[in-house]
Amino acid sequence: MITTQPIAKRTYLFEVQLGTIALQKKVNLVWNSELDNIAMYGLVATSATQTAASPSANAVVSNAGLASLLLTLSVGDDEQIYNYPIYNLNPANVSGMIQMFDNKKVNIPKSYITIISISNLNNNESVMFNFIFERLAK
Amino acid sequence: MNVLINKRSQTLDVITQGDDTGSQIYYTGMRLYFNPLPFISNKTVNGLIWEQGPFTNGPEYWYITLKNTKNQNLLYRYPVSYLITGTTERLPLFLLENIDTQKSYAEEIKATASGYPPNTLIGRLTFLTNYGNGNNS
Repeated sequence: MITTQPIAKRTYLFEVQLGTIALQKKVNLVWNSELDNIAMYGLVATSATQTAASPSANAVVSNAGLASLLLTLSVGDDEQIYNYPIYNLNPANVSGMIQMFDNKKVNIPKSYITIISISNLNNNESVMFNFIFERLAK
Repeated sequence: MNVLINKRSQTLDVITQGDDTGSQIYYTGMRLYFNPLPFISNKTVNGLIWEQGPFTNGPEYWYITLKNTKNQNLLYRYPVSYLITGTTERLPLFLLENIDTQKSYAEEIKATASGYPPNTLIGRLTFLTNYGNGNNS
């Protein structure tokens, strides 16, 4: 069967706190033991429509605000996913499609979000990602 | 368009426990553990569907964590919004092995806390499996 959707074996909800909003600011993702040794094959970004508050009780970026953000994911030191538009990672914006990736062993601390517009963003909002992954053997 | 071939499914009521009707038993941020669902032990779950309860805050405040029998996270804080038909136009696909519903739970995450009395139906979680042999076992 050919499918255009990832089949999720494990998922993890991951929060990125944007802090003070500033143009061209880069916000690094914070190391997390659950995502330390994984092959990521799908990624979802949620908006306030789907997830109204973050686990740290911050407001979540609105769907319009997602269009002001880009995501760079590194594998090792290699920025393999460079400045990907986060708006497109929300299935609600792309007919339910979940973006698939080629089993990326993502280096979380070397990955970051870039703020390219301050439109529709507020200080101390969070971006929520749902990683779809498989664990790698240690 | 994905088509989940539902050979057999079972639905779990996610409900607050207790019998003290005059008080609230679940508050925002707590883990609301699921009841046993022996039907899905040793089975593979391919699909999940969530139906929000009528007297709760909306699905955008609710998350489920599904653990396996080894207490490992399979789904960690999965937003139930994505498990409701119509919100994303297609339901996500899963390959979840050895779910232990008694280690699994729902959470409400919200800036201001809410409380719920016993026997509040938070939602209904339907597990779709590709397993079926003609009887419900």
